[in-house]
Amino acid sequence: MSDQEPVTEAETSQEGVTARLDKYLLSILAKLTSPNFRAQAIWVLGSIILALIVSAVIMFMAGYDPGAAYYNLFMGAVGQPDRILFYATPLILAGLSVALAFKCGLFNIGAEGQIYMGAIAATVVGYMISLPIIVHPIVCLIIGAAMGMVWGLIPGLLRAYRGAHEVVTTMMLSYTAITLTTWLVTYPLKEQGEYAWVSQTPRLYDSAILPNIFGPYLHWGLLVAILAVVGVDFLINRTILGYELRAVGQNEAAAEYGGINPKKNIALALGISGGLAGLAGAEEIMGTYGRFTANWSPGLGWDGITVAVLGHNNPWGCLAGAIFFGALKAGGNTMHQIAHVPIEMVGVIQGLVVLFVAAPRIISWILGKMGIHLETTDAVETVTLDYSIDAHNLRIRHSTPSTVLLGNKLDLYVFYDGEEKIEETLDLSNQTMIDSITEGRARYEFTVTEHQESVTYRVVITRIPSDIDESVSVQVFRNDILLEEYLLETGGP
Amino acid sequence: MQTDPNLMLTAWLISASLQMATPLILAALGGMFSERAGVVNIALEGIMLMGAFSAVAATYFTDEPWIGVLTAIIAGGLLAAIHAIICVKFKGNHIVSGTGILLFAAGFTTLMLEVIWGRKGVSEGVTGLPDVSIDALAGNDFINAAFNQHSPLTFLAIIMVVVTWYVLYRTPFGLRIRASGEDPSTLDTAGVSVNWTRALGVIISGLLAGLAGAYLSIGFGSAFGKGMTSGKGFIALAALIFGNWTPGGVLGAGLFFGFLDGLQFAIQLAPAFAFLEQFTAFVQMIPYVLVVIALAGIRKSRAPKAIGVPYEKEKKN
Repeated sequence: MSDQEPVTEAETSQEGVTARLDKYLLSILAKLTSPNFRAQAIWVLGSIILALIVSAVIMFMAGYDPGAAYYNLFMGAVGQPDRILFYATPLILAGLSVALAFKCGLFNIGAEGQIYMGAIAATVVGYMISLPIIVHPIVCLIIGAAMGMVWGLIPGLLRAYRGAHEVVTTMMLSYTAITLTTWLVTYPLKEQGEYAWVSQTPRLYDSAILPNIFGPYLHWGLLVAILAVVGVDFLINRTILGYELRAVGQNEAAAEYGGINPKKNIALALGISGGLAGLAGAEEIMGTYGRFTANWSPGLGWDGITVAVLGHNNPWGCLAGAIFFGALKAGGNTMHQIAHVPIEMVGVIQGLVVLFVAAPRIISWILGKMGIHLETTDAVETVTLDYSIDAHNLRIRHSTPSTVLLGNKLDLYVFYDGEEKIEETLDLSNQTMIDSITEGRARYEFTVTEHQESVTYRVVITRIPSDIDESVSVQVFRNDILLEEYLLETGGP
Repeated sequence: MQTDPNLMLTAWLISASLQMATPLILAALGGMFSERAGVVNIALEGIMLMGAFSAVAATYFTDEPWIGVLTAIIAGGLLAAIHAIICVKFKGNHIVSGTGILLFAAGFTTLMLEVIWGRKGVSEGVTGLPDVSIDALAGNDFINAAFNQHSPLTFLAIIMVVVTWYVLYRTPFGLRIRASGEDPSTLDTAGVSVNWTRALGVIISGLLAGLAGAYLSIGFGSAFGKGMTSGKGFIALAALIFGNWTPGGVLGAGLFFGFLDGLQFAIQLAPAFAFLEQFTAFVQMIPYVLVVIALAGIRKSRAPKAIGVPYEKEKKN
């Protein structure tokens, strides 16, 4: 749990590939067995079960047999794995799009519009320009992703430099995109001739179509989606950009103080997020639809939100979430054909899953009523607040809980010139934090519950300039009462 | 004065704008109660859809449109109550919860459409709310065509703007709503429950959005269609933001966006504007683009301070 670990890991990494692989697998294993992961898994599974129970009640009241419906839903899904993956393909990409933005603390609820923009761009390249096979689909995908990226960069830049809230701007731009593409395929790009009454473009050249892997549904878009999962995982967890995105998402002020440019990262995060959504649109047109028809998407952008939420914004979680919703869609057809339950039931289940996942405390509350208390003792992430004064360097670090976790432990460290000055371990069952850093002064505040009593800790770092030399005062307050104070000499300017 | 075609077209445009503005104003006023109380409500669209469906279903079974309106209001309030429970009691993420409500409403109404009428796209027709004719307005042709013969809900929407203004700015309850969105800890210190204030704000938003839905299905039309709100809830949200979270602003933005809607019909109907027909899509885009520009350019657009932040009682700053 200390940040020295990655350094030592890098130093010992020359032992060879096997040792590194071992370490990697062990780290995954450690993550999978941690109490936090277990709690998250329980929350997600609990939400799904609750949603299925409520859906069963709705089906029962509507006069359907929930038993038969679920049996056919399950059998339909298990019997057609290719169809599950077919439905999951665009959901993976849309989910990654929403999740990546969320890693940077941004809510991209306009993935739908970015999907449309990516799709229309890929369509134009696909039917207007003639290119050799293999090259053609790759160009289409790149152009689609680029167009989605542009559509994501607009709200990104507006958020970063003008403070326009991305929830509103992405949503509004999403409807703009849908209206715009509908106009494009109704007038300038419309296919003339026999089907001129349908608002759609001509069919893509065969060279631009993503061929099927096997069976009537599954196409190579799946490979694109899985590569995107690996790519996003690498980007988030193994690159500097990913680290910066997460840092901004965790704590914008602290990240800025740590030398990270939050504006650039916010714009980039929404841009990449839009690019992933654009890729989803391009891949759907090239693999599934073959042409752009007005309003073709069955709400993929919204599905993306549900996938990201279910996958806890983790790329592999998104893969799992997309497969789950893909299975619901695939099984939904069988449920409709055999148990005669309308296919819309799938939408109802999906909405309910999201509602329950939205508030993990519901599950904790129900489990609490049953006498079960979830333990989430591991702190999973670390936030560092660095405050450098000339050659000296003061650092406050704490391990924060992930935003959805409760009952966490918080470790607070205050370092000065590498030497640890204060260490506190606090139990968090209910925490809020406020950070502010202004010129020469950093304030760091959080409220915790100790023995059911609310306690506010505040760390105030003040730079005291004087004519001769400078000093820094570090004060730790507990409920506004000075707990500890350090005056640190920093030498003259 | 009798039949100047240009004047009558203007009157018709005013009338159409008022009709199109009604659901936007009602839903946006609802959204204001929720957002001024500090809870983001992107589920307006879903709540409207639920209202539209409930109104038609209740009218279908009772043949009394006013019972339909009442049912829509209650259904909207109930759906919003779910949002309130998740956001306020369980401190869930407002956007995620709103998305869940949207998906649920879209799925549920279409499911029920099939259960009740055995149809996929549109329900059977029901008795719509009769339009109101006010004799005092009937004297002048222009005024009669523009401002008379509207659904009672259109008149109600205008009245609700005044009522909302009064409630928000002239009653203790309104002060609590505003305080709970701006500075919940102060409200808490004053001994008022932030949770209840916020929950009530969200539920009122559901009542009004449900009413807006009822207007769409039995005020303006007389049947329920799958996904019939077609983005109106989001335009209402746009009107709320463009109107700067104030009743007067919402009225202005609602009327303006309604006018843009009416303009599309005018372009389609008036032969003089036939050449513009293929560009109506761009008129449709104006509300969305305007909101983006407003948020990007005009810094005075200011959301309630504590919006979207779950209030934890322990937090004392």
